[in-house]
Amino acid sequence: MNMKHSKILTVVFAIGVCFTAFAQDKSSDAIKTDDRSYVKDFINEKAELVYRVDKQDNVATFKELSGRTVILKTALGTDMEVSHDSTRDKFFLKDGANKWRAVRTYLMKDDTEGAIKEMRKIVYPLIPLVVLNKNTFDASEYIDQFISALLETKRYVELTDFVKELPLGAAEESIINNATDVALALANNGNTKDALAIVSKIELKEKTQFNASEGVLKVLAVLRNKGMKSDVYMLYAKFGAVSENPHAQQFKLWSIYCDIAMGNRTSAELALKKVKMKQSDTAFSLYKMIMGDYVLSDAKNKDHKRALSSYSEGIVFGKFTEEWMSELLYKTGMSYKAIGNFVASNEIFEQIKAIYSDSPFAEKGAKEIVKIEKKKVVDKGMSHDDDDDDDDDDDE
Amino acid sequence: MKFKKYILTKTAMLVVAMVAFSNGTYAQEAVNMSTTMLKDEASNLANQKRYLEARPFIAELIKRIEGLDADDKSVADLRNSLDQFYYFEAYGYLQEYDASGSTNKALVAKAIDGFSKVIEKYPQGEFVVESIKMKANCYEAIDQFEKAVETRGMLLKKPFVAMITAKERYELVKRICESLFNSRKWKLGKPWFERLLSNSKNIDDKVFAASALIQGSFAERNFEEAKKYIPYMVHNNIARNDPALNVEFIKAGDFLANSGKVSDATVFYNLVLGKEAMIANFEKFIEIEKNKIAEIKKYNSKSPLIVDHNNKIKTIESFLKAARSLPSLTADMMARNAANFMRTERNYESFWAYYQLMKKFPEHQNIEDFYFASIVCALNVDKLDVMYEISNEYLEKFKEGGYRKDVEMGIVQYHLKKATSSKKKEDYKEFFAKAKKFLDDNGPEAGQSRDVIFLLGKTWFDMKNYKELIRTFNTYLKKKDSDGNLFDESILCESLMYWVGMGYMATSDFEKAMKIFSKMVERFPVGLYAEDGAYRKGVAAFGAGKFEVARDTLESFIETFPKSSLRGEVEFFLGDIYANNNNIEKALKHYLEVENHTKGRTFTDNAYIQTAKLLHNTAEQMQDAKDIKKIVDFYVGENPKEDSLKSLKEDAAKYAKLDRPANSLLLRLEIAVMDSYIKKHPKGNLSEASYNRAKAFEKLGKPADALLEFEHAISKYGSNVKDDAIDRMILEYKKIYEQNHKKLVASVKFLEELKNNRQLLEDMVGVPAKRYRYFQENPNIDLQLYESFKRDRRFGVNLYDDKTPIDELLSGYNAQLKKYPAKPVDVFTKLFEEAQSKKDVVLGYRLMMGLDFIGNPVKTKKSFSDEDLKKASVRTLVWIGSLSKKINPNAARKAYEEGRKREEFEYEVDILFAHAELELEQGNFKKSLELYTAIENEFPSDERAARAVILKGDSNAKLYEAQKSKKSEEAQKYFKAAVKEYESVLRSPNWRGDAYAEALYKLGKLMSKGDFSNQEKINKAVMYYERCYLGYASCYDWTGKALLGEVELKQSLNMDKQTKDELKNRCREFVENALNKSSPEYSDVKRKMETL
Repeated sequence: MNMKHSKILTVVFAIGVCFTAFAQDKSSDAIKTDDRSYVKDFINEKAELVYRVDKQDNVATFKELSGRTVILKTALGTDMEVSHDSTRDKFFLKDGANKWRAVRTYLMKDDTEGAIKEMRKIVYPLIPLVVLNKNTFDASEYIDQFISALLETKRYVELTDFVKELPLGAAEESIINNATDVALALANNGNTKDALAIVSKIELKEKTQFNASEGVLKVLAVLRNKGMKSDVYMLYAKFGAVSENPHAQQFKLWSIYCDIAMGNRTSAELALKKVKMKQSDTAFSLYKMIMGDYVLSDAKNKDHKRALSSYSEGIVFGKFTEEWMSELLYKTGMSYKAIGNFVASNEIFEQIKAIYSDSPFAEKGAKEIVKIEKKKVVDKGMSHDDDDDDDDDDDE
Repeated sequence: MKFKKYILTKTAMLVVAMVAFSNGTYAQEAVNMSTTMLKDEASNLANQKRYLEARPFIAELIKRIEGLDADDKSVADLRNSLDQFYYFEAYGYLQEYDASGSTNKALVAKAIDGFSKVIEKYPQGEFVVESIKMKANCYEAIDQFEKAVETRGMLLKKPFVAMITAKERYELVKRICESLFNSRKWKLGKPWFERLLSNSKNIDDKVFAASALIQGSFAERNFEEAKKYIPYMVHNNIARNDPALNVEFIKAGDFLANSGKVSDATVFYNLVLGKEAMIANFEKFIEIEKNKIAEIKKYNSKSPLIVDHNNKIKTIESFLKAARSLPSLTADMMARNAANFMRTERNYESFWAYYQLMKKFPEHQNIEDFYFASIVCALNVDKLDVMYEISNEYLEKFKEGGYRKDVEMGIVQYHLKKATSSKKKEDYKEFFAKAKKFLDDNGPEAGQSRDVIFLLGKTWFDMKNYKELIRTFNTYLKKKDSDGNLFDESILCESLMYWVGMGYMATSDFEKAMKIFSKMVERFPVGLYAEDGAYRKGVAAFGAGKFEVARDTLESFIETFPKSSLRGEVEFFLGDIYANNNNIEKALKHYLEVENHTKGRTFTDNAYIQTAKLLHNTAEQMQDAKDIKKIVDFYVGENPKEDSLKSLKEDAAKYAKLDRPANSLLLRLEIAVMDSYIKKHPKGNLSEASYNRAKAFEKLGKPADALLEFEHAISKYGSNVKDDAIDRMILEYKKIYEQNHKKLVASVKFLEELKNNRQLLEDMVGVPAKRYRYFQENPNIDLQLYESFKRDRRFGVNLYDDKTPIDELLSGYNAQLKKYPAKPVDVFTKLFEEAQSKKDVVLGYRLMMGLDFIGNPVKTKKSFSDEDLKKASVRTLVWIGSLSKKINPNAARKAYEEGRKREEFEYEVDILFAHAELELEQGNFKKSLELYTAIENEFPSDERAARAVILKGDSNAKLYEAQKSKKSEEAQKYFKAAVKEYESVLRSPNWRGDAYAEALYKLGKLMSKGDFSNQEKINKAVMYYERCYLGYASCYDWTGKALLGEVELKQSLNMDKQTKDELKNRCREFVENALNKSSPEYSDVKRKMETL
């Protein structure tokens, strides 16, 4: 069967459920009047889990959270301790499929509001269980869809409180990603305080957490660009200290970036000396941008040519999809401008406008574009009007 | 989808009752079957999705239903449910099409017919939505994309749109987009892609839509449109990595680069993901999808989402396959980017890009190009050591390389750059050695030799080492290269001659410069320097005083190079040449042309200022009204628009008719020219224009207007630290004020007396000798009045009866007196206070200098900071230096150094004199010597140059005196140098007079120092003293000194009586001449005479 025909037939039967891809005809921009914290509403609701012993399903109810250990109460009334890293038993939500079916029914009818109501009943009791590793109990599938629905309906108050309630320090990648999605939405909507609070709760110390680094970096980037350099500095330093994390280098570099921005040139210099980078490293262009910043942070000697050498190396060896690329280009453009190479600076500012139109550096760059009146012709003879260079303007 | 069994059951019952069996093979079998059997068979097959096999049974059922009596109500109900039979029958055709290898398009056509029946006959039916979708799929299968889109689009219109959910609507748009994307129907797809882009909240879908819109725009060469979607390209997802899209970016970049749109090309080149990057990304995406499937399977191993993800994986795999099949574009893309960086002057990126290429792809076919580009770029961004290293690598690696000469030339440049930045002699030495070696080795054979000559010439020129420049290049002109070719016979000759000429120009050896430029343009009439050389030849001839040659050269320059960028300068020089020859009209014509041919401010400004000066000077020399009328008519033209020019033209005609002295018209024209300049060039040198206006007013007998003009200009332009004309006005103000006030008062008194004193009037009108004597005895009266009596007919005998001309003059003088400004001290104080209130520091300092200059200093701080110095004009710095030096010589030095740094011509010589004087006072004779030498070299035509030479002699004399042993080599060196300086004064006829006398006296003094055993020196001393007081007897400052010098010298040598008597007589002669009382040594000589 050829592929084309295979598509013809399969399309008839394929049905999927996906939130974010939905194009909503109804506007979801209006602030929800019922947007509030629901944590207290479910404070007494305990999750019921099922685990299997000798092909027999056993029920256990959540009792309490002790550090990173979940204590469940078995049907026999005994306590069962399940630690964060335990893999002995595999737990499922009791009657989970049936409970979620109600959610799905609403979703099939495009009734997100109804779906959220159903979800709350399932999701809120799962909050403390987030500390368990995915192989023992995976709460993320439910929480992910719940957060997507809340984000879609812009219930930011509920989202904020819900995520703050999650024990993020012990949570794995998928839960942290949910938290950073929320923090990003909050930060983009101007609520940088809560965004910072959420991201401050995150830890990236374990292997199961490292993959959430990209999301964390995104949130920190928004906060950094909103001027919260001293606030994010500590977090960058904290995450950068875990050398096993493949993103540690990037966190470290950003902490140096903030250090320079805050005027701490000496400590930045010391930190930069310890950085070892290859041109093929992902963060190499970031490193070069920071090196350029460091050069220009010398108030007494702003050596734009030296900074340019560093910035341009970053551009050539960096990927234009990197988050910092618009900033790197902007800084490069500014240095070209400072040395009077307006052809290059204009070119760069135009490029930022074309490629990174959403970046704050696009607008900043556009303001730096200068009108080049004439290009001086250099011939092999002596200049005849050396003294006319700066006064050849037209009066009329 | 399943057959609805109840429908089939119901159908079977009815058909059994009403229809007989028919026959056929498969169909025949169906025909022969009972309706129940028919139903069961169709049902079984359909539920097994064997629609093809079910089709004959369904067809038979349809036939039987359609054959029933339509009027029967139960039949009508049955017919209403026929849509499902049509649907599955059509579906069966599709299955057959698929099973038979997807070639029989007739089957698809039958399927389309079937689905169409459902859509047309049952638009409200349960199968209509699926039928529309299937019909669209059918059209796609037979490549009828427009119809497919049209059909699928039906679902987004009434009545069908109500039958699908929002999610389905979105999926439908996406489906349409995918179909159009796969078939690359960009034009047809544009509205759909735009719809998806604006409606989607999913970034993957947005990027997909943007990719389609970009590729569509590329197809139409609408690159501007494509740029709108570029911001979506920063996301790294499947659509973004589509190899086709990335290839399109390359193509677009190439197209734009070839069309010269380098900036736009750069944007698209930057978007290209390399093969390796795409492969890595696709592998990552597949991994992500697989993980998602594994997650889904944990909960529901039959989830329909798994199909979606599997389909996605298939799509990614097809992309991955396409990416793998691409050639590795990394090096080419890097080369493209590097070239584009270079074209857009992004020199630093260009360097790194080429350097990387060079290092990463040592085996690339273009490796030599990469090397060379890296070298050029490294030089551009001052990575000199890298450049040097790569250059040597290149020379080692490419023995027969095409860029060898360029690289060698690059090494020459490297040494120059290094020398320029280090300023070390040895670096320069290395540069000169390498450059000369290049010339010696390659000579005219290498095209780069001209560049090397340029570098050498320019470097010597910048270092002001003109001697070496001339010497070396003159040597080359006579030299042969390693192949025995004479430089003089090669193309290099032109460059060598040009630079030799420039050297001569810089050393003011205009004669030689003219000759060599002349020879050069003759031999290379279309050479690289032909235009410049012709211009230089004219300027050199002008400098050499060969005005005719200069004129002819520059006139011919205009003919040959009418559009030259030098035309404005040439017009200016021609103006000067004709002005020097008193060809006023032609001079004015050329000055007028300047602004039409230059964009430079300086030459336009100078042309106007020179015009004003020319008119001013002509007004002093020219009286003839007819000649003046010609000038006025020429400048003003036929029909002047401005009233002032109109009246000027009328007056010129009137004066010519009456033959009246008309020089005032030239002054009025001067004012008009300046007015026009101010109007046309608001950014011009307006203070200079004011100065000229004021000077013209003064000459016109309107000193009050002149002073008011000064005051206005000082106030308006005084804050410009670079404006020397302001300082000039401040320094001249008091003199103009006082002289003219005296003149006005004396003239008014004279005119009033004329009115009442008939005898005086008659003497003035009719007795030239008395008139002359009267004006000699009354020097304060305006000399214009004398001229009027001498030349103006209105001041003849008619004055005896008609005093109108006298009254008119009187009224003019009185009007001036009436508006005469307050005393200079009051005017300056007022301006100073205004400057202070405006916090105008520059003007404030200027006025403090002015007040000090006129003898009314204001209290000021004793020290000036670096910041203060920056806010002082050059002339003010001279003043600041004079204030500071008493307390802190170093502060004065700072002021003078700041003044020297400004490189402003007008008062630079004052700075040099003041500084040299300070050093002389401080005993730093070497420094003073250096400064006086600078005055002599840089300001040879300044009237104070003689003074500088004498002071140089003084400095050497002092250095000589400071030596312990007068016979030491060092002492003798200074002694000879002092003699040389003083004697050089005696060789310049222009300096006859005081300078001569001073030099003679000082030579005498120098010769009489120390060694009295040297008779030759003594004789010389006596000779110099005598030449001084005998030859320059009116130079009282020196004569007395010289006479005393001789007496004292001879006294110290124990002179005989005869000598003593001779000297006594000379002293007596000196004392008896009353004029010698002006000598400061008069009484000393008298006393000395008495002792003899």
